[in-house]
Amino acid sequence: MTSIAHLLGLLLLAYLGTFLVGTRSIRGFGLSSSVEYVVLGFLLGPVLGILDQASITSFDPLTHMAIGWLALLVGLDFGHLKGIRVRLRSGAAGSLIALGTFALLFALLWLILPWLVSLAPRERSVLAAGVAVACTETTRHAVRWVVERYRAKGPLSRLLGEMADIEDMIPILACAWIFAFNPAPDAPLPPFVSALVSLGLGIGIGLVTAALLGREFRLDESWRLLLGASLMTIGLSVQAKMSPLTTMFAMGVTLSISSQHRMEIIAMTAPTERAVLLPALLIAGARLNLTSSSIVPTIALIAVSIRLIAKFFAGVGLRRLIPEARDTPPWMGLSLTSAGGLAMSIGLAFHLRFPGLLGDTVLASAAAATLLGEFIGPPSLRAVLLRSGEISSATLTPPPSPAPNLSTSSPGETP
Amino acid sequence: MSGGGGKTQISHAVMAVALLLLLGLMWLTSRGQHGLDHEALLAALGFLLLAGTLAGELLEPLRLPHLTAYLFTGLLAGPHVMGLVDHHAVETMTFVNSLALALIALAGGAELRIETLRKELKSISIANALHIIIGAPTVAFVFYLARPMIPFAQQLTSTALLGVAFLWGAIAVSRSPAATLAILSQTRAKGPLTNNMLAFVMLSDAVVAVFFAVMLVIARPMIDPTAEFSLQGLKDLGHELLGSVAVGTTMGLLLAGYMRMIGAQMQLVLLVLGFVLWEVLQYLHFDTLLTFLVAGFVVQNLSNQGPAFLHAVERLSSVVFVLFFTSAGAHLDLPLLGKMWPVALLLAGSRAAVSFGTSKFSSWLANDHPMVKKWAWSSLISQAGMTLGLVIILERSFPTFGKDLRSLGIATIAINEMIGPVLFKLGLDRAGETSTSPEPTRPTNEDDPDSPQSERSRSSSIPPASQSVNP
Repeated sequence: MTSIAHLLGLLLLAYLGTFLVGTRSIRGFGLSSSVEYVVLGFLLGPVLGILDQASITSFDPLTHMAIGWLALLVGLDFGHLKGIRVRLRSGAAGSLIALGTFALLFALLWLILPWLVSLAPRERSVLAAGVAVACTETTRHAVRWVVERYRAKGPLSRLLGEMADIEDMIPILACAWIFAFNPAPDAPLPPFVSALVSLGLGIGIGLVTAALLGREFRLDESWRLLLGASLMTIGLSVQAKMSPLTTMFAMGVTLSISSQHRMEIIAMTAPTERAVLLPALLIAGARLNLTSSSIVPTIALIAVSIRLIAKFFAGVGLRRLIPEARDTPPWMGLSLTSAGGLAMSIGLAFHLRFPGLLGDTVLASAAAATLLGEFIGPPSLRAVLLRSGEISSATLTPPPSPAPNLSTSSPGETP
Repeated sequence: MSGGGGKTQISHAVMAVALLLLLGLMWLTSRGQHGLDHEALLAALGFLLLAGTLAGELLEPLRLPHLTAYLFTGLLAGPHVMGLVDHHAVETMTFVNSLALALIALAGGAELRIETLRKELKSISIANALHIIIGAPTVAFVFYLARPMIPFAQQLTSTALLGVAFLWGAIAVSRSPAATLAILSQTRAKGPLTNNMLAFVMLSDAVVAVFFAVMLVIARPMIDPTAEFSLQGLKDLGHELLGSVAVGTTMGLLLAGYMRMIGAQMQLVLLVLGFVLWEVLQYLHFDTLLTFLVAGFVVQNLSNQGPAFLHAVERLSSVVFVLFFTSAGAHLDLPLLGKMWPVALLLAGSRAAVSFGTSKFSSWLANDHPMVKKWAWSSLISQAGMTLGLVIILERSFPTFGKDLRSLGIATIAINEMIGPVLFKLGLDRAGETSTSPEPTRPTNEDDPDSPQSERSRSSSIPPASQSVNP
């Protein structure tokens, strides 16, 4: 049986498995971060050995494709929440929190790493930066999941949603620089050029795609054009050892800005996210290697601890500076600790680009952040919104049955 | 950009410039090939999908079918011409084939309605019988006469050559469901010719499978004197066909049940069917095409999920077909065709002539609709995946000359693959059955299978946009 058949069979099992672990809610089946797929992949791969290394490696094209496609979806809806442009103030706050989290994680890890493992200076920087970008995001999925599940409404919900949307930009852009300045031996482009080309390629193909989608939007043809342009961009980006995440994000943002069919493109692509995200998470789980070195779980644990601290202080800062957050409890920063699809995508991208200790550690850190975030993030967010009065006690019990119109959900959301 | 009035010279100019840019980009990267095979594969897939789509639009003013544009794009980008897509990438792309063939068979089955079959039964039966009784022996005779032009045939005894000619005749009556469906899907054709041809081509698949197996049983002892005449092959075939019908029926009922009760993620389900179930069925020696054809037929005719099912299959097919045919184009072995073109042309030409004559005769006997009488032959020229599959079976069955026979088969299929779709589209155009209505312009809630509107559509069987292909 081919590897693709193998993967899809497992994916179907995973999909059916979701019925067992999750209940139908507004966000559909499953948990807010879909971390159950990571766990399932971990069970099928490292624990039970059903997915061996050769099979996992044969999924590489699909993995690259999934990572790139998810980044495209993030880019397409970047800067918008439920179709409304994100406010400058929220955007700035989200960017600052992401930058602060990244900086704190990078600095502390860079200082701590020499005590844990002996690495060349460049590797030390890549490892610290890689773990930092993987642990930076607050996933929009979880914020939307809580807000929609409990029908939260108010300025704080909006602020948190907008911040989570903008936060994605920082780790995605950081990937381009980390990839570029740590060239593979056969990398065809010099570092600085590579970083610029990562963005330039995405912008260029985004513009060409926008031009091709033209004045009249035809569904089937648009699908072919968008998918073709995406696959080609991902392939070229990976071939040139650049970050496909950054390139595809740039393509998505460019398309979103330059195409008059932005809303149609989003409506067209949004339902695909789950079909792409699930195998990506499954593969990520199967690729986890916690035993390659004893420091892998250690660094992952340290990273999520620093992440918790960084998010906690981000919450403190928000309470002081942003009026909407003023009446929240002191620990409101914990509501920003959810991680998900983007963190795992970054982990996977590093795992593919820097195989070995470095990739293993970044992926393990992303998985740890996602798992821990699932336990802390959504309950904290629910409590914060409840205390701020944006969730009424009447809506605390989620609606029993769904009938959501998922086509209206933003890309990046788990339907 | 396709179809209606939005097509302007500016948009064509934009597409031409974009195509040149993409070609340049691929050319640059293919010169300095870095990275692993799978990385090149992604770029190649994307390029073929994009370039095929653009070429299809750019060649539309010439009234060429998109399928032909896809084939030419693959041919130009492939390893034998520009080398933008290398041999390894082309070989790896064959993974698309199983998905494409599964979708073709599912759509083919779902397009067949019992009432249409009832109406066309007489015509289809006569046509199938005549193609086997007249068409196959005539082409076999031409093959026998062409012996001096076929190097490997000169080494065979007269009896062995006769056996090979019988098998060639059996291959010659195979058609291309893929090309037929791709053209119908593009043109959104409706009418008596469409109904008749769709039913004939889809059912002839099963008929040819049986006929080929019978001919193999007869020809084997003629070609290989050490082999004995054995009906075991027919027994196996009986098991295979009956088993395929049974599995297909079960699969169709399960699909209909899934759509009725869950209905979500249909694209994922189709992907799983196309990749996983296809592999499983092949492993178990079932006829995969027949199984999927029956499954599609069951969903359409034994449940009320037919329109929604067809819609989901067509949505996925619109992407998969481009990859299927561009990779088929990239696969075409031009050097081989260059070597064998005289005999390949003779065999393809004789097959076309025989198909034309037999079609006219069978339409006259069945008293078909005038448009069927006039243009039914046009859909019979195309050959593609199924024929290639039969040729590969022959290669494996007769290792001494199988490779040469396969080369000749591929060269002939290449000619039929290039000319057939053009003729079929011409026939549909002339019969006035091609639609001028544009394809859907916007994603609607029905595109999202989880949406409530889609639920309504499923439960009430409101036909979605895809119905335009339906008879």
